[in-house]
Amino acid sequence: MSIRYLELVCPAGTPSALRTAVEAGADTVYCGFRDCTNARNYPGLNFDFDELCAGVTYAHARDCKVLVAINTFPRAGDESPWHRAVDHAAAAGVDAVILADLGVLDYATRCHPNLRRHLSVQASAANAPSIQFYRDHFDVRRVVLPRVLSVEAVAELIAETGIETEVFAFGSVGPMSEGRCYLSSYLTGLSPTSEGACAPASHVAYEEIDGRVLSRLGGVTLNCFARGEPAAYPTPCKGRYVTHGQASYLFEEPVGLNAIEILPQLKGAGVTALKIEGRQRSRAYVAEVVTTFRRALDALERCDEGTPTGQLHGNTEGGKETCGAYQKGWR
Amino acid sequence: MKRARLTLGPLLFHWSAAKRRDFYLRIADEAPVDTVYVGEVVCAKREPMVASVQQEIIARLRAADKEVVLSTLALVTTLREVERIRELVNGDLLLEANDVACIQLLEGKAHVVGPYINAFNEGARDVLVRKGAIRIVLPIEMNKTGLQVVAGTAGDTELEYQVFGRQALSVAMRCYHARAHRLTKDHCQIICGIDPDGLAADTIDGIALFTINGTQTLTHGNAVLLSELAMLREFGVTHFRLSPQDLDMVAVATHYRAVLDGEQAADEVTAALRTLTGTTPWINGFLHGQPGRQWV
Amino acid sequence: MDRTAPLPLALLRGTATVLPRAVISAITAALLRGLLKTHPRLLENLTRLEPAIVHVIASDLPYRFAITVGRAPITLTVVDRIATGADAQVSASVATLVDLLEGRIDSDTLFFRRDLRIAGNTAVVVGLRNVLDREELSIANELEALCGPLGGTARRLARALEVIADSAGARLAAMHRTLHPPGTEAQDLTADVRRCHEEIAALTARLGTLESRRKRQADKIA
Repeated sequence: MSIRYLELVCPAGTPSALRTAVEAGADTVYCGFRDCTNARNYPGLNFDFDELCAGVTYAHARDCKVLVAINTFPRAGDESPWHRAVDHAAAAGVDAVILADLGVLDYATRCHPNLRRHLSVQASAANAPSIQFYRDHFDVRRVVLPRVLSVEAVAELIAETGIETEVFAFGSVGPMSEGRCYLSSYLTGLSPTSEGACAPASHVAYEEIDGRVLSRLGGVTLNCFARGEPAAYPTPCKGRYVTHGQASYLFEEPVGLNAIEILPQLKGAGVTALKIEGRQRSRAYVAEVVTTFRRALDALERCDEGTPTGQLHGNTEGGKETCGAYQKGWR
Repeated sequence: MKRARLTLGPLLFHWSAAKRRDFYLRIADEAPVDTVYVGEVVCAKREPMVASVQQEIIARLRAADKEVVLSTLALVTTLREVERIRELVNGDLLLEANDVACIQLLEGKAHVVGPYINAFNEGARDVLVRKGAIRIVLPIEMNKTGLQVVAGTAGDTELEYQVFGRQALSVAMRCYHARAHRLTKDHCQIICGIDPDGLAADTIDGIALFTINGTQTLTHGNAVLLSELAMLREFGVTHFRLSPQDLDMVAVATHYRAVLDGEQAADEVTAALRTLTGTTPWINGFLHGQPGRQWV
Repeated sequence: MDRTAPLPLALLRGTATVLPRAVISAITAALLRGLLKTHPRLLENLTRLEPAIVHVIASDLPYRFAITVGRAPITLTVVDRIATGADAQVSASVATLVDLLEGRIDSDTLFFRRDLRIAGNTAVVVGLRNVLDREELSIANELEALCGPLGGTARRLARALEVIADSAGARLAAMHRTLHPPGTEAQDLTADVRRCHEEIAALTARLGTLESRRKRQADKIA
């Protein structure tokens, strides 16, 4: 893949978001099919085959690449939707597929050897031997690194494996090792790993009492927001829990990840691509975040002092942002 | 049908060296289990604290004719952690790989794949077998439909599933035990050691939900798959895992052994098992395709 | 880009309080028909959703909109402010709702800020949001098109209503600024509000500091 500099990889939950991302300056967009084969299986979201083909044509005409996330884990006895998704992605002429499951990786390697394979963050490859495993056995060309690593650790991994890496630049702070977290299915019975939705909307409920809002998942109270207090996603890892008699954000505060301030460090670490999370967000978000990162990356490339970092905190969970695990002390 | 194997999974909680030694020596002498998994799965910082008793424990278990498997870390991120696994790979014990890193370092050597590696389907299982897995411990989130398919077509590969004890819901880089004590992971004082059965985390409206164990989050309830044992055997599950809790695990093993061998019916040992698990509720939702926290 | 279509939107909000509900009903129904016609996939996608009735509550209007999705026909009707029977409810200000519909603002952002409230079946709301966000909708264009054949009548009606409603003109202008920012104007408005909020927050914090300092000094003296 020809890379101008740090490649900007942007979310496209819908065809209109894809166009928005391309127009806003994405080098690459990623999307998923309208079913359980991707980790953002929410109602009304994602692409059917024709929409993907049109999206690929649109993006390629504007020198933008398209990746397809097929990054959930097939249910036993029902692997065909995942295999079909890989077939369809190949037929649509996408630039790469983002995979997580060993069986799906194996299928893609056997049946579509020329289809470029990226390793999803859902595969949780956070060390050199894991990355080497996927590279050696499935010819994986790029690894999306788990967002639990510091910049130093990212640099070490790249130095040791020499593989292309994609890291999260904007989105959620996921404290758990992704792809093997069962908190949501513990409460709802629906598995994010195979159904593709953490905190599925069908199991989320909000109740307003005297200006306070209670959020519940599968009937379990996750949080209570006072009047005017910024809200968090109704995912179990962003809930408030009581330990030693005291309620706190035990796992993670309602805060968003924004690495825009440390782009030079990520570039210095040898990162290939920056991932903007948010296929579940509206296209207004895509426009704003992609535009801001495009400007920052262009400025970085010109070596401008005072990289424009924009004002994105309105878009982040809880209206607050952090560099997450990239910085020391987060753990 | 081959004799069902009863296994004792790795101790997930951080017990002191003395408590561990007492526990495993009694297991060696008294527990009717075929296999015992030892080794640290949750946090590399704990390992040196209990290293002094590890060799003795392994020797005693082997002397008692138990198969000993050495479990490895579920989330490997540092060079030191990788090097540690490299050392273990070169040892003479059968390993349980809980991170793909371990499989890579094993280079095809026979091993057990632990429940922290996603083996949710036939395709993934077959890849793992080709890379040297002789036994796969299926993820706790797997439901009976999936188990039936994966176990039913596994051929010679042994399949294990946890049938007792709190279920591990996630591993993380962050230490929640430390956070609950307003400490960071890097300066944690190994605070997880003060809770031999984990730290309760309740909802804000007072429902007991999770058990915190360092960087790991476990269920609050004890998974008890007792009346399901016959069905699991029927599916082709060969190994049945008991996950150590701070209670009389020898008694738990004895009850499970009796039910597996058909000496007692599941409901005949229910009352006795309830006494052992105290006030901790029983859960079995995951297996039945329901929310994991439920009892079906 | 011509985004100056205040007149039809005046019908929607500025003078809506004095318009008979039947008129609003007719306009919204026609608006939906227009949208479904100009966005052919919208109908299909709305029909694919889980069957449900969603009430859209504009906090500054005296009635609600009820949308039925998940089965044909898709309907959009005007119902009482106190109407019940919805599977889900979404509430926000008219300006916010129009921004959302036209893809100018992200619903999760609004949710984090607590500017958008959701009740009932969350999946239906999420689905509806995603289906609408797939399309590039413009209410102004639709209403303008709608007014096309009846343009003269609609305009006369709107003007008459403006006379009736004293402040309608001012409201219209304010609404126009909010809904159709020429460049940065509306941004400034939002920024102004944000600045005010920040100033209040800063002053509150300052007050708190001063008070605690005074308390400490009082304690010291005591």
